[in-house]
Amino acid sequence: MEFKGEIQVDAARGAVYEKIRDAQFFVSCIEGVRDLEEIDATHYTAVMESKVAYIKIAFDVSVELVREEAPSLIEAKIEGRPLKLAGRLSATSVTRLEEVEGGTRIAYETDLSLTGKLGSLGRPALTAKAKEMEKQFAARLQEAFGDGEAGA
Amino acid sequence: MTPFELAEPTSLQEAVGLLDADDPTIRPLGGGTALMLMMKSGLFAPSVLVSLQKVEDDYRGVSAGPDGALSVGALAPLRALEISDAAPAVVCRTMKTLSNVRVRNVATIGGCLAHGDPHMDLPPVMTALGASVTTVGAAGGRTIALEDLYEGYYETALAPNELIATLNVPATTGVRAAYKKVTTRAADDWPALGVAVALKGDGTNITGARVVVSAATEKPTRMTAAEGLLNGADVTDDLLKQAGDAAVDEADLISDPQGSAAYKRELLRVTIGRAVRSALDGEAG
Repeated sequence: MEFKGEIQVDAARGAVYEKIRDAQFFVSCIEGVRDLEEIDATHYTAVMESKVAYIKIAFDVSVELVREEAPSLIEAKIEGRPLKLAGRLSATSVTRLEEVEGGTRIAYETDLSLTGKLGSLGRPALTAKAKEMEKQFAARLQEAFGDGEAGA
Repeated sequence: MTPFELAEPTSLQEAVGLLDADDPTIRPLGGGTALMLMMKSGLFAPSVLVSLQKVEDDYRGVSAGPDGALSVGALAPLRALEISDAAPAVVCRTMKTLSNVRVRNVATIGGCLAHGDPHMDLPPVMTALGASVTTVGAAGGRTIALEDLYEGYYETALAPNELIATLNVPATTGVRAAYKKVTTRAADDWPALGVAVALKGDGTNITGARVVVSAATEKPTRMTAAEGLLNGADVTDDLLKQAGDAAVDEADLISDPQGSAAYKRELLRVTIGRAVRSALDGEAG
């Protein structure tokens, strides 16, 4: 499944890139991510918890930055294993930054797949949750730059 | 499976008292047919299950009022409704392909309605018929229309410490109804799409239409644009095509193991008309 969206922020592209490249900041925009650890400059691990109604699913997640073209593109590959469930989460996420009048347009695109029991039972519920998380991610990103945190 | 505690209260009110508004790992257990699948797969690990098997018998019956309205206890098995002479014909027909008889003997009406999985067959049918549920909760009881019960995938308007006590189905005199279940494997499998319609009116003229889509959406959803086209109109092939197109525009479709959103879009486009035709072709109640 694919999630796409774009927002525009009142900040220069270089500043936005630096901010998004900061893993701590980036995960702070995603609901339920904790215990971020930097393995090296392009590899990270974290725990992501997602809650749908009364069901909580936690994943051990590893992230690899596979492509960086400052200040316009970051591509990441994400692999996740649920802690108590058979299955696997794989995703590729591309974030593109484009200079526009008065700021920067951030376009993001994530292609996510779920396999195993996680896919058959959890996929529709997690898809619904992912849509909600995407909206929240965009709102937090907008809020962060709107508050002038990235600088202009 | 992770170990859990099993509580067996003897009244519905006692069961409510054992649930915790702040602890989602304490869950009520009706027939357990859906919850057990989630537990066995590891998707849900409860700390306590509050079994409703030993609560008073007041919530196990199916009875009809003098006007034909139906009252169904939440702990009645699906099979009780299936074989009840008082149940609307569309409900009995729906039950025939709702999983299998072994499941229908065990699964409860309340559990089926409260589970919140949009692939369930009964919620869209009951929503189309204008049914409601009466609940018992820590703060007292209330009545919730079925169309207001579902808030998202597995998400309902029920508080964590609130239980469905009764399903109320209004009289279906003068209502023609149908449920079209589209599966991609066996007929009694989880549907890729469910469309329930309930129509009032004479002949091909419709005066009151309720059209509900499930399985292809995150929750049973009324297709108000399609209903608007049908209400007050004489049914023609062209009108049904327009209603199908309107539903496709209105529905927020999801992909799942039963089919992609693109596939379900085309299913929905044609199934709306087929469901209306089935209802009009004499599928009373």
